[in-house]
Parts: sequence; C-alpha cells; structure tokens
Amino acid sequence: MSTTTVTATVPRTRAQRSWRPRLVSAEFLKLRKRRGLLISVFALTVLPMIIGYTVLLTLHAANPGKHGPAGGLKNLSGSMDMLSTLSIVAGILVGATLGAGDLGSGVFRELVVTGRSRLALFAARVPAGLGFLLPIVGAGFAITATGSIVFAGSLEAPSASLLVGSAAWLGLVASLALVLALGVSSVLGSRGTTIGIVFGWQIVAAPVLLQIRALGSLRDGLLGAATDRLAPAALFEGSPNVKMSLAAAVLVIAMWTIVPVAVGAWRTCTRDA
Amino acid sequence: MNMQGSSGFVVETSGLTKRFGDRVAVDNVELRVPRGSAFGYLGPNGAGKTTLIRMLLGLTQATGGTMRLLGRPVPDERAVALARVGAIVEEPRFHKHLTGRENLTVIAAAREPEAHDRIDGALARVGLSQRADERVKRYSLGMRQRLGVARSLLADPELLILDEPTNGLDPAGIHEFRDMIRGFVAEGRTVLLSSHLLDEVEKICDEVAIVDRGQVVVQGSIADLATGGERTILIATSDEEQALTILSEHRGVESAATESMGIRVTLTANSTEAQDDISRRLVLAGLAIRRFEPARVSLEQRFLEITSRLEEAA
Repeated sequence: MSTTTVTATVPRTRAQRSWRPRLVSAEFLKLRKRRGLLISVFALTVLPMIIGYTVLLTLHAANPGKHGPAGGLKNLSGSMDMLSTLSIVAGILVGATLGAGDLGSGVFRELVVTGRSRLALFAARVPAGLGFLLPIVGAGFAITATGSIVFAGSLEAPSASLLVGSAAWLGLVASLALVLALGVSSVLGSRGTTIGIVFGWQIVAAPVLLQIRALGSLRDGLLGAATDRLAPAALFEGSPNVKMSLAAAVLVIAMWTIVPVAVGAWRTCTRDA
Repeated sequence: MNMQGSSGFVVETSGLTKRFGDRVAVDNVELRVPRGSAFGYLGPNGAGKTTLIRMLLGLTQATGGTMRLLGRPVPDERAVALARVGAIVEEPRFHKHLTGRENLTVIAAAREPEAHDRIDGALARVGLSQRADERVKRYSLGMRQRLGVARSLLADPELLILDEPTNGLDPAGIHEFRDMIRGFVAEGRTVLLSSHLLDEVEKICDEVAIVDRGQVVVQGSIADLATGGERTILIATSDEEQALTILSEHRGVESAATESMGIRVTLTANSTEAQDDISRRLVLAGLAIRRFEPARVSLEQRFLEITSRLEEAA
C-alpha cells in the first residue's frame, strides 16, 4: 500500500444523475444485486404466469372441445388469485431483506457512523423496495392481462377498467406485504425469522381466520379482509368473506401500513448499531 | 481536507460513563485527543476501548458525561461532527454480494454528494483499484481492512477512528497499515487508534492513553510515558565499583545494580535534586561520567507497571 495521495477526477456516475435520491438508489442497488432475491421474485411472479398460459394454450390447442381458450375473464380471475398470493410472498421476501439486510451484514453500523439520520436510512428502504418489487410484479400482471385479452377467443375478455383496477389492487397487496415484512424485520433484525413469521401469518393463519365466522367483527381487523374488500368485484366470484365498509377497509389498510412502518422506524432509530 | 472547529482537541470527553446493568464498561473517562496526532487508546481486551469508540460514533448511548467530536457536542451535533469522521469499528463489515466499489457507493450515498467523487481516489489510495469491481466475498481479510480504510476516506476525514485495525493482518500488512496511518497524520489528519497491541501503538502513535477496567489511568506522549514517573536512571562512569560505593551510601538511592549499559539506579523519589547531588558527588570523587540519563522503558514495561499497580491497589 502506498501512502502517496492520489487525486483522481472522477466523473459523476449515472446513479448521481438519477431522479432517485442517493440513499434510495443505494438501497435499490443492494436489492438489485442480490441474484437469489431477484430470481426468487421473478420465479414467483413472472414465471408462473408464463407457465400457466403456456399450459392453458397447449391444452386448448390439443383438445379445444374439452379445454376452452387460455384467456378471458375467468382465466384472468384464476391467474390473479395465484399471482396475488405469490406477489404477497415476493413482497415478504423483499421486505424482510430490506429490513434486515444491513443489520445482518453489519453494514448498518457503517451507515450510522456517517452521521446520516437513522430515520432517513429507514425511509429510503420503502421506495427502493417498491421500486424493485412492483416492476417485476407488474411484468407478471402484464403477461396475465395480455394473455387474458389475446387468448380470450370466444370468451368474454376483461375490460380496460377491470385491468387497471386489478393492477392497482395487485400492487396494493404486494406493497402491503412488503411494508409489513419491512417493519417486522427492522424490529427483529433477522430475515429468516421475519419470513417465517410474516409468511405464516399472511399466507397461512390470516386466511384461516378469515374463514372462521365465529370470530365475527374481529375479522375486520385482518389485512386480508380489507384487501379483499378492495378487490375488483368482477375479478373474484362471490362477495368477500368479511363484509365491511370501504372506509373501514381503508382504515384497516392504513393501520397495517402505519404501524409496521412506525415500529420499524422506531427500532431502527433506537437500536444499538 | 476541510478543517472544522478550532479546538486543539478533536476528541474531548468529560465524565464519560457507560454502564451495562451493574457492570461499568467506561468509567468517568476524561480524554483529550490532540489535533494532528496519531493517538493510541491502549488497553487490554475488555478494558472498554470499543465501548468508548461506539459512544463517540453514536452507535450506543452514553450513560453519563459529555463528549465533543471536532469541537461539536455529540450527540446533539452528531451529524455535523461525523461528516468529517471516518471510522473502522472492530472488523470492517460489507455487503458481500456487492463489489468493493459498490460498497463504497452505498456509504457515499449516506454522506455528502462529494463523497461519491472520492471513491476512485480512495480505492487507489489503499491499492484496491484493480480489484474494486470484484465482489467483496472474494476479498481476503487484508483487502477488507483496506477497503474499510477506503470507506472511511470518503468523508475526507479530519479524524480517523480505527478500532483494532491490524487484527488478522499478516506482518507485511501490519507494516503497510502503519505506513498508511503515518501518511494520514502527515496530511494533517488525526488518527485515534484503539489497540491492545503495545508494540503497534508504540511504533505508530505520538500520544497514548492507557485504559484499564473502563478508566483512563494515564495519558501523555509516548516519550513522556517511557520516562515520566520513572525513578530509574542509568549511570556509566570511569570506575563503576567506586561509583557503586558512592551510590549505595546516598540517601536518595533506593537500589543500584551493575548491568551491561552501566549502573541502573532506582531513586527513592523522582527528584531532580537527588540526581544533581549524585552527579556532583561522582564528579567530586574524580570519576568521569560517560552516561547519566533516565532509564527508558518500553511502553509494554510501562503498561505492565501501571496495570499491575492498579491490580495491587484493587
């Protein structure tokens, strides 16, 4: 190692010219470079849609009498049901990684010693995570939406307004899963534990609780009840498991957003680094 | 390098204390680190060195006392103070899935916009330019240490805080690290080096504070510590037997023994008058004085002397 001072004129990189604030860009970089995470999210959202429509097309081509067209409203409904669940899983993976990544690697300490506010460090994770997750989930949706129209054949094709509503709803459920996992992992500091807990709750426990009518209005507080209420009516057959007003659904969603973010931010600001 | 604050000290603590339950890790520490020096914070493992550094950097809260970094009170003005502080606390940690350059980009994003422009220069400074685009998981420990230094240079630091920076380095790496630290000091930066390695501190630092059981027990320049408080002098004369006789009869002499360098004399007190009187008597006896100087001890000897004295007192 030399002790000679090296003065290098370095052109500013693309990251600095980006519209994204630098901290958000840095968080995005950390996510984007995790190959395993990128592949997992892709495999959960885009790949099943490609496989699903390929299978449906093949079946229809092989036996049109027995298997109807691959597209149409009914197939959109089925694929959205699967895509929403898998997008929740993807959101959990991304959120858990966002909240615990710096802590797990020990880099949180290095970020804190820069003097930058811990709140700012935490806040940058949300847009970075959404910026990473939503385009991939959106790609999965784009395949579904395109397939439902192009391959509708004799079936009723979904309307443009239904597709817009479905996309917004899918983005909402994926984002909520991310925010919930981000908050929990910021508190626990463990990616694996967070994935286990949030996955167990959102994918296993909460759907079971939604089915238990004896719980009555207690079910109103579940995130799944509120997001079901906001799902486009034409997308899923029948009424939601839990009947609740739109205002109540919005309130429940707001609480499931604010509380994890607030608790995660508080823990990020107060923990020993 | 921007200079911030006008105080002669880059670190000042007063009554700084950290307790973990009943255990006191840092006990009422009064520390002054002079600007532009290599300052050693020396103590055995578990003495509270890292805890003090973690408090200075805002990684953990102090239980009591006050701190100033670069003249700024912390934690009140922590962000401003830390903007010109670079630090390696224990082992430098990185995102292993990112390259060296990307890791620096992540940290630069949390610093001032100019930090981004310093990345290439910092990598060149530590000799990592050629391997900057490799993932950190492929780096050796020595390379990670160097990347840690590069990361701390992104702040264009007035103060570098390095906690046990040579842990795990091979002798060549330690030598390089030593040169690099001296280079930083030559540029006018201050380096606060925490270590339990006495030899390392002695070779690198100008000033030192010795800490034991959470307390700073002595602080001063290496030269002063090697002689200061020491009651031993070395004397070489033309006739050592006669000199020994004179010394053994002197009231100010506790003991005198011949060794290869001359006669090692331990005085009853650190008294200039006693030393003057001894030299006068030797000259009056007709002896030629070839050596008369305070016996220097290594920092290690001094450290052991201080800590063993504390153990006896405890």
